[in-house]
Amino acid sequence: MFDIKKFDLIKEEIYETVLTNGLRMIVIPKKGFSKQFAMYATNYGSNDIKFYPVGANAPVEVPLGIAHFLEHKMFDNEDGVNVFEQFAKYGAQPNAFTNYDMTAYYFTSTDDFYENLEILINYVNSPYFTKESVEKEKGIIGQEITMYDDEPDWAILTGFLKSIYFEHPVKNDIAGDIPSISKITHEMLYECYNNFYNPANMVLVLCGDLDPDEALKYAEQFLALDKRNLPTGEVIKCAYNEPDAIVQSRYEQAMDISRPKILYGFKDVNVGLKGRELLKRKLAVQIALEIFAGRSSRLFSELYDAQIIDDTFDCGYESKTDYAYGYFLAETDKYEQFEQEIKKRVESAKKYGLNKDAFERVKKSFIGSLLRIFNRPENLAIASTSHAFAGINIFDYYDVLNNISFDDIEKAFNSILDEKYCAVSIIKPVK
Amino acid sequence: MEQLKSIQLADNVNLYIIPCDIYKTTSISIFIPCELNDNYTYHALFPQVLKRGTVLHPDQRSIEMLMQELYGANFGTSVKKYGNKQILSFSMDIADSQYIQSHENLFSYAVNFLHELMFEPVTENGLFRHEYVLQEAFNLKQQIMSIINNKFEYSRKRLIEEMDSGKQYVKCEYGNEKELDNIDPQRLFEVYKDVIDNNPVDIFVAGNIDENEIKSVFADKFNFSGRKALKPYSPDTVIPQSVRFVDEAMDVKQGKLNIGFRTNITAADTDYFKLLMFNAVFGGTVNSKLFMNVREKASLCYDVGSSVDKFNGILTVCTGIEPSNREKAYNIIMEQLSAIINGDISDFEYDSSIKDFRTRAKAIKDSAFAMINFHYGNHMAGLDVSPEEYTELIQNVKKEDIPEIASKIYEDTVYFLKNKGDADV
Repeated sequence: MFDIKKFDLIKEEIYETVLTNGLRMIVIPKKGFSKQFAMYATNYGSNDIKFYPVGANAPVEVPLGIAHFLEHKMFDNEDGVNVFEQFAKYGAQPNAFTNYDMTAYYFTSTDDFYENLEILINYVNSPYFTKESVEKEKGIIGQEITMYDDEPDWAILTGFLKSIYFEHPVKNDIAGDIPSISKITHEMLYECYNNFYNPANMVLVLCGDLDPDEALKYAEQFLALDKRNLPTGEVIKCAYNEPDAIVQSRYEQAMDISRPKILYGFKDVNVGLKGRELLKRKLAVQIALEIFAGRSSRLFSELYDAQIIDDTFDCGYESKTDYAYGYFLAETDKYEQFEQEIKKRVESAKKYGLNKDAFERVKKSFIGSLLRIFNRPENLAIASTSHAFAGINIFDYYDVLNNISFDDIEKAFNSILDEKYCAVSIIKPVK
Repeated sequence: MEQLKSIQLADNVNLYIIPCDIYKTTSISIFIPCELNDNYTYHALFPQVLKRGTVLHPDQRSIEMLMQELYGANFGTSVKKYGNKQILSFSMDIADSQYIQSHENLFSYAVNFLHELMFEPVTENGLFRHEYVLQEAFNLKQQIMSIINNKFEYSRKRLIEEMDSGKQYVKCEYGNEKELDNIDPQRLFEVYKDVIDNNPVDIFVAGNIDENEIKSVFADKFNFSGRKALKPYSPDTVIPQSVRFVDEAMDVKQGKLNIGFRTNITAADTDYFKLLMFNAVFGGTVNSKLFMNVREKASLCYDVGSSVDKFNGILTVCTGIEPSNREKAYNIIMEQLSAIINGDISDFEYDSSIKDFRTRAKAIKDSAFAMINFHYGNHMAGLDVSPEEYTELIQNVKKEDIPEIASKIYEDTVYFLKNKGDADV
């Protein structure tokens, strides 16, 4: 039986249920679309390096980058038939990604959806790691890490996160580093897999021109073939003892780039929220930042006219239950002025308040951006997977947006950008 | 979805309608092609200046406020390079009125704004506002210089430059950075007027809007006069006599090995679909020979692939590797080409490539801008087909066509980006 959520204004529905084996399944029908998209994901990402294995009394610590390494190795299986090859028989395009909080396996197809779904479920449910295959992957992942090392946008964010976090693993690269991945063994991969890839910790999201009842029938059928003998019980992720303070207020690096890049950001110490409370905080901070520094703000136009920023300017806010941060980012030779201007204007906005006239406009534009997610089944499925782990759904965004007040926005703004939690990360050109 | 409808508004001014009810937004793109001639820096610059303000909305801030009022409408201008043409585009994406609380008709606002943007710039003394020109020239120069920040894009661009030093299409679509230091405001305004009044225009609208409404809105508001067509591009056939090797050193950790080949086949040629199938088998998919051999078997890289330029008759292979593996990677890449020439193509490689194209072609219809770019890009390259016809043409390629095409592909230039500290490898 599905729990069906409807939103009549935009003519969309979300079907949700829990399957016999405890796996959550979400189906988002998109009538008229040619593409189908399926995502099978676990609530396990690069941050989960310390945990109490199911039934254990003591925590284990695994090398950085192991969730991502595991993702790569899921594409091997015992009979040696390459996973890409299995999907290719039906013209489907498979892929996977690991982020800080989750690992997701997916495919896009336009035909033979259920044949492809069977392959997806089957390969993610069939781990096969050997000493040799693990060693072989180290060359490929080593090049992936090296590629990111040469990307200034990654370098500047990593420099910032390392400056604001003492303990929290979000300060590390998702893929780890060369020394950490060299320590990974196939036994460790099995241990992580066995603890995090059980049905209760995962979600299956399907999106496309699909009949939910038919999807349910097939999913049950494919999951019944699961031969894994996973330990039953709950894996407990360790909490990180992250103080409010920051490590350093400045990080600098030189790279072969055309002009300096600067990120001025803050550590948000108001963490610990979940579900809709977390969503409300996220939207309130995002709206506050948009009013303060978005493209329609006085800040943006004045700094643009003064040639301190250009179209490369961006601001944003990321938040999860146990970490949150926000930032202003620009490519500019006038990076010192940039930092001073932001600080000065934060102080002034805290003193005199944000521009209230912008509030309704910014809300309208958020509603338009939400609508656009429904244009793309893959974006909708990715968002819904992450929402499922966070205990919300995409319709909650509308609800929270409609009920948010300007007072909420001002409170949110006043709770961020405290200078003692702010840090600057700068990438300068090599001389 | 129904098929693309084309309506001629004037000579070389066409309106294309893609009726579709699955999108939550309406997407509009207006394309204006220009020759990549001596005015290329000016072509790239004026759309940036137009974005700064119109008579009704004289600064960015008032434009952004309007966009927010229109439920976060997206608008943008861009410049791309198609062979020897610079393609200027003005686009907008706006919520479909049935999906917003007020049900206001946002489409007509969007079209009015595009008209303002293109035809009613804020001016002073009959020219663009001088301050905007200076600032945007500076920003564009920074944009050109920043290409180096993305080593994939930079190294690929460098390969193409090396392949065609002196030729027209080597010009950067964003203009020349030196020229941006000394922009002549008079000339900029004249180039703008000339292009906007005399170059061909192609307008695409995708979404759930009544065809008559679209027609009348564009006919009334824009009232285009007839224009002259540009001369279609056909690149010269080039058979390289020897392979050029170019090395460059920068402060990087990863080496980039890029190889440029001459195919002398563009989308206008009958052999184009054979070339696409060759590319799929060679390095176009995750089941291709390059992915399987350079990455999966030899573990030399994370990223490797080949791609076809449908305008220039060039095929490129790009990969990121440990600099000391240069020789090894190069040999494996070239062995894959030889294998295809020798007919070493499995049924699986052939079938899966066809299916991969079928999936991609079907999926185009799910995105308004993918549909628009598919039609316009192919049209400009001399290929007018629907996604269904495209799939059919791919299916007509026989397995034995692939080695035949492979034997007509010539290695031209090998570009290698390495670390300054690395010994010569």
